[in-house]
Amino acid sequence: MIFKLSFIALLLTIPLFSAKVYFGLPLWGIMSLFFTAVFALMLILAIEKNWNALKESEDE
Amino acid sequence: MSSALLTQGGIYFLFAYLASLILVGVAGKIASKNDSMGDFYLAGGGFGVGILFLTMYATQYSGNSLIGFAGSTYRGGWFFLVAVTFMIAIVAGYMIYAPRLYVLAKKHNFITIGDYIDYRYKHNLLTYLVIAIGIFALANYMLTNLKAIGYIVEMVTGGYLGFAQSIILMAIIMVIYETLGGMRSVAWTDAIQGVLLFIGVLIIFVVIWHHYGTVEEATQILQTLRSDFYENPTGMQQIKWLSVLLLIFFGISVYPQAIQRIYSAKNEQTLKRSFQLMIIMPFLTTLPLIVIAIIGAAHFPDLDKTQSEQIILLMLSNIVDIAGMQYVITLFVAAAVAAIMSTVDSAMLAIASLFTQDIYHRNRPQASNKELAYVGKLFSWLMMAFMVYLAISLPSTIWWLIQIKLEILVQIAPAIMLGVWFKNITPQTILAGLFVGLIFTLTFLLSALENKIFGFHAGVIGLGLNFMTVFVLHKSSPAR
Repeated sequence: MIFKLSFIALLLTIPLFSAKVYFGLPLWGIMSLFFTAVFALMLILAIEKNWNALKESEDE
Repeated sequence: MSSALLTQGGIYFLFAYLASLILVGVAGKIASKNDSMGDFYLAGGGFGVGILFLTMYATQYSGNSLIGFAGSTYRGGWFFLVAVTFMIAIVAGYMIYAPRLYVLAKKHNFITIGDYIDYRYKHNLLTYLVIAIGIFALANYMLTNLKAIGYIVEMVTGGYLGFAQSIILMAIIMVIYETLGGMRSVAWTDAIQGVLLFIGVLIIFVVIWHHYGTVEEATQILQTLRSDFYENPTGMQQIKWLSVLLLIFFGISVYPQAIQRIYSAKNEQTLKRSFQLMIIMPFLTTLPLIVIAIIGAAHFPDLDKTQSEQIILLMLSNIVDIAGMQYVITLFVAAAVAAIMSTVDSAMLAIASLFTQDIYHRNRPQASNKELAYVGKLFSWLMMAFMVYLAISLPSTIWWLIQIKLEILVQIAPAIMLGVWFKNITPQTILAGLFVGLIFTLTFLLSALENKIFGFHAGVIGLGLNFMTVFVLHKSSPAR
């Protein structure tokens, strides 16, 4: 499920790379932003695709 | 008046903007359909995407987002990129429980978080404890933002309005429009404030980028001035990143005013679209603020903590001679005031609803709608007066207490998130976890012990113990 997988992207936002500078940003910052963007996209998709699976009510 | 950042015209604009909020309150009153709690505190549950998204956005982005984020970035550098991630992670937090809670809320006419906890667990102590924690967190949120608005308005008007006068004026305006139209007025004013905030940030970003240069140019300066911004991340920083994400994910997503907005959605589609828009906003609001502060750190080094909180104003006021800059400064001030007011009014409405619905109404079930409406409004005025008094007079020696709100609030997350998923979890199990989490967290926060444990916030470790207690008790429960 996309929603569950999105948490992997969230974890990958942790600064894990070196601080070598590219385009004015440290590499770890670029990668954090990249994985944040991936996380955001997956979340948008999850809202669209997984909403019904996430809402099945226990109130029956 | 000579030291005022706003011109006479700017001050008049600010007052005109504030007066317009009262008119919106009147419009909210006119649009109200009846005296019911659902109409007053949830606007009848009829918000479409536009208003719902803007009220969520304006409420989530407080004064701290505009002022505090820039200051934190100035002091800590690129590490504060974590804010872009955690502002998105809040929506992931909603996704854990909102789709199910929304269905239940519509079916059972929930108004507050207390309604859900009572429905789900039918346990008075647990319900009251969750309400008390919610009110504690919201009151803290109000206090910090009221104090911030006092400082900002005093500064930008050059003392024309003093600190206390500013807080009192803003508080009166907010409580007027809130008691006039309830959620409808608050959300409509939030919509204005949200637009101001969004446009303000983008225009300021463009102006600063144009006049101070790009990030690459700033980096060349900062690599000498602030080499710590460009060091390889340490293990402790990685833990801190994770801890902040967990704290915000489980904490901000269960704020009572956020849950109230989830209940207010017209239908699932509006809620889904609003969440999707909220996911985009950190890239358009938080990220520009971080970039601005980084550029500011290159051009204004050696600011202390208090000065660093004003980095954006400092950057704007330094180019005030450029034609049109007064308008940009006025826009920034209006955006900052808007960000704060939209947060305070939402917190105030949420506290009033918690008191009226979950405390007064539960103890006086025969109360009429008219009586409940009167009690709610009276409570709003009294509570706002108390908050104003505290914001003006609370000694800074105990001000640190308000910093712990999120670490306390986060402890109610299992009650909400697990409650919607596992129908066999008993209230005693949730209560035991809540006590374990609270006691552990408070022990570390209120004693001389370090409040970070192996780099994690005490509240995050407390939440872990909270979840573990629930898990162990649930697994060993004979009821399963």
